[in-house]
Amino acid sequence: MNKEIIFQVKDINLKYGEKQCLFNVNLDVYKNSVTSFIGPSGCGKSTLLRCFNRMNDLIDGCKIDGEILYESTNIKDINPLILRSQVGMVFQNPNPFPMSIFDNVAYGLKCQGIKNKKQIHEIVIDSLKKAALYDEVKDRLKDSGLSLSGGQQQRLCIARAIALSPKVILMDEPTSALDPIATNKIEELIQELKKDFTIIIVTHNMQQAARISDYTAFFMLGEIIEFDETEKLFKSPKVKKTEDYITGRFG
Amino acid sequence: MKLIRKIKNIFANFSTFLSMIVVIFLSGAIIYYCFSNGFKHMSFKMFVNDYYETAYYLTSEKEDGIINEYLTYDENEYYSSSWGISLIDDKDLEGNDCVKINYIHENSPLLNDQNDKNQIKTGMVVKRIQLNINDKNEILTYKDGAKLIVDKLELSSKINELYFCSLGGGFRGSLLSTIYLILLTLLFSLPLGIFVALYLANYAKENKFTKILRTLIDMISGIPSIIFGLVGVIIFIPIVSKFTPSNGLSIIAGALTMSIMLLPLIIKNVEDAINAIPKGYKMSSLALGASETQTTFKIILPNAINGILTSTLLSIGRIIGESAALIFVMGSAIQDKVSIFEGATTLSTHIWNVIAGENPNYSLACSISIVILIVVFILNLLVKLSMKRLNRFEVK
Repeated sequence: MNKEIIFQVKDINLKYGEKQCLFNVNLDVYKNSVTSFIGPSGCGKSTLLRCFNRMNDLIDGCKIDGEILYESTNIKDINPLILRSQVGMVFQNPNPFPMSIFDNVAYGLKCQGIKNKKQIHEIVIDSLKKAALYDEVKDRLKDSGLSLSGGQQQRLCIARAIALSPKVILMDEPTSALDPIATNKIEELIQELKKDFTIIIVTHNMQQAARISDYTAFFMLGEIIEFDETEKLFKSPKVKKTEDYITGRFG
Repeated sequence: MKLIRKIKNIFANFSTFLSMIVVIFLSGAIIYYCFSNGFKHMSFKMFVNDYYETAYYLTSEKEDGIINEYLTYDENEYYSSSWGISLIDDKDLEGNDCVKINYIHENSPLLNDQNDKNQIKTGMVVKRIQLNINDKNEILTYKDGAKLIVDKLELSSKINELYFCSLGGGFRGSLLSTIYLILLTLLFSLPLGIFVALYLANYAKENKFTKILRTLIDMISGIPSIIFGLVGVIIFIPIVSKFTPSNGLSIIAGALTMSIMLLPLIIKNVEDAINAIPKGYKMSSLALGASETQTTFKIILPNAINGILTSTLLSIGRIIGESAALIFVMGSAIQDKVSIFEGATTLSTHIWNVIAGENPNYSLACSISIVILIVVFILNLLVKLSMKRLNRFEVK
């Protein structure tokens, strides 16, 4: 494989106070691919995900050793506000702001200081189209974001993230609060978004990881046990623990 | 054993119901007392009239001819066709008897030779009249009643002196100064309280400093208001006198004193509202590249609006109800011309004023109490409504 690397994780050790959550994590994330993190609860998948856009900085007592390179620059040297506009994030629970659908998507743009109303309008419509939500909400852009269904709300959150035209989208169990139909739509959307964005997704659902991702990392107790192309990892895992986990023998 | 338990139960239930009845009776009695004493004197004029009467004097001579166009008499109204004036027995706003001028014909001799300032108008009350009847002086007061005054007027050829007043007893000045006080206090205390609440809920780390700050805020809410009055006199009055045209007592100093009193209430309510906002909002806002400040002012503050509203309404209630501190800082002299740089009475201190003197006027006090009761009742309803909207996050 000769793909461009967008994130390079080098020897990350992360501590919340005294408790160490990540041990010597090394990982490469390739551009325009879907990378999924799987593993049992509390194994540090979401913690590593939050490292990519420096959301861990907001948590008191969080100490990170090692470095993460974003397009060959250490993310510690990038202004977190700029980094977060380049690396979008979608959370587990759909949480649109209690404002109109339009304003939800325009929020990030306005915070970046874009004032041109015409430009904002274009970007909002474009983002909603990319998030496969525009046809459902085009007649009620002024309605509250909270009036949408759960799946629509999550797609609104994705639209909100891609309005800033990021390069990477981090997704923290985006479908765990949704029903199968809404989950299916999000998965289709992820396949679609892959063309323009790099996606890193944390999931508890191994079938989902197998279906949508190009690369998979298997985490356990804060360590990466195995990282490989999804097909290889699921068909012929090199490590015994991975095989046990994906065949459902434990975890 | 069984009997003892039964007796104990009956006693416990009885005392519960008894306390309930006592409370209902007491609150009912207060409202009943206010309404029974004050309601019959309530009128719209109270809200627009001055408190003090303005006295006028005039002299007038009878002219030839009879003015006889005014025919729509009331039952107890008396019309003097030679003077073109009609008088009526009435009660003033404080419930005392008075003789009111109900109509003046435009050709009335009483309107002649007067500068505009002394113009006699309908609605004014006649206090005393000195008549010249067959070259003999006769003095009548309002106590003689409208009928007698009009009869004597018809006989007289000259009014040596007519002493009449504008109708007093209203609380327009106090109402206006209450509104000024509310606006000024909210202007000072809301921004201050909201920013402290934002700091405590959003920025402050839990350490010794914030602990002390919280203790101080709790302490302020426990201090009796008369001490705030003292603080106002010692600190705010000199400061206000130095930087504004005010000289001593003033509404501004009162507003500053009330602001300090209301801070704990505002801080607590707004902080609770901020803490009720889902953490996800803040996280998603930050993940979208917004700075902490942008998140605070675009996401946190708009969503805490219910807490801000609740604290505003509660504050207004407190300002209307406060009297002790305000007597210190704003004085207890009722003003008809209200200026924020001078002392004045609010509705509550107006009550204190009318019942603290030598002739306490309980019916006027009750009338004002009714106004306060109604305003506080409406405020409480609004608080309940806004509280309901405050809990909308939990429904989701």
